[in-house]
Amino acid sequence: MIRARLLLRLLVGAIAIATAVTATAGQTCDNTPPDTVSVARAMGLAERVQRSLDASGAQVVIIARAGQDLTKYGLNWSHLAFAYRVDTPPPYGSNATILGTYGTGTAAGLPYPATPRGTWRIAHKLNQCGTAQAAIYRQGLAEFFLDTPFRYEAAYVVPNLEVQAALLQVLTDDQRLVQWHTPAYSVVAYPWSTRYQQSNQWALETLAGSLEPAASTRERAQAWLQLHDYQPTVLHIDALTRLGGRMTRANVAFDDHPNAKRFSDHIETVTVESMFSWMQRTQIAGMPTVVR
Amino acid sequence: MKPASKFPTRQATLALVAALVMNTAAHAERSASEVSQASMVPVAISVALPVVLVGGVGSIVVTSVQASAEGTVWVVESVADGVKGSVCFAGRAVEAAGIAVGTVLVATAVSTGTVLSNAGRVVAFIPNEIGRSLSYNERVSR
Repeated sequence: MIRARLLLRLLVGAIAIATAVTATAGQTCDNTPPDTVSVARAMGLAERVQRSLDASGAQVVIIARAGQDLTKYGLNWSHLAFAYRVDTPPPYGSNATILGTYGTGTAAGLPYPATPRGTWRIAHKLNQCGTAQAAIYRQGLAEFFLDTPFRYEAAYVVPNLEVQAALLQVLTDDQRLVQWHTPAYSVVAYPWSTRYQQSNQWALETLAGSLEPAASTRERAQAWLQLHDYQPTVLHIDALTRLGGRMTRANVAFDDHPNAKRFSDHIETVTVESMFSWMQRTQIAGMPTVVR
Repeated sequence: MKPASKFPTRQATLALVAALVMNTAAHAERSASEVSQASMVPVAISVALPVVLVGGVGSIVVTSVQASAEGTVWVVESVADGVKGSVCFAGRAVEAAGIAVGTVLVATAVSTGTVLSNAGRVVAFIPNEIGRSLSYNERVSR
């Protein structure tokens, strides 16, 4: 009898806690404005990345940031985006740009003109304040790194020219940019399901759709990726951690994963590392460049 | 007979403790792809600041806040020498900062422009030519 009462009390307590937790799930948006130091660090990184991208000669790159510490999963990067240059550099010898340049200097005693800075746009998918929804944004390099990263570092790969041209068509077209976007968001979305979509998965499917005209839907993009041997990362997440994540965060769901994999703690998802590795293997892009 | 009485209680307690611990951990850690307030710092579209503030650190006091359909203009005055200036923002971007007349802002020069802060928190950014090439924000999907 006492045991039954104890269990009942515990159950009531558990329900109360679960209710309170559910009520706050998805309200994790940090509304605190950043401090001057973090803004200065983000701006500094944005500027260094701009210089590096300009020097790469690319028009489109695929870029990653370290928004969150995922080293316990053996991952260095957490979030992937496309970056594309929206301006055309003036021809050599032009003196059109006075400000915003890398400065002038001399080579072999002869003056050489200032190199204009490129204007780059980031296209990526962002989760809305920990809710189960996400949207597509176009931002500057500054905004990309102002999202309070875990490490002030970036990595990017330069796709081959054919891939850059295909991506540019999509990145500059608002309708095509959202063609492979699903608002329903889970941070650990299964790569071969269309129920949810996380940010790296949007980038991967958009890349597939850009390269293959027949891959006009998410299902077809995923089929194309399977055909081209894309291999997601396998995260080992035990039942208790899955339960905790599902209970406390609106943007964590596991019900899109096949039961057999889920119940053996085998969670497959799209990561920066798996994409970088696949793009290199298939010669879609080269080796990553890290900017610190 | 094996006394099984305490086992379910202990197991349930452990599960509860684990859930609470994980709840705390989850709230302490932001998602890697989450849009944050930081990337929504209002960016000035035009500015006429006292020269002394453009290249270093100084303080300005907001002497007037004028809101219109086009945007918001802060009329400011340098604390050091009383020189007046203005900072304009498009739309309602800067309203959330809640800056009232009489607020003292610290202006700090960085390589990409000037950061305006209040009590250590950034309330606005005034980009220079480099900063303008780095700043942009547009939501593409609904």
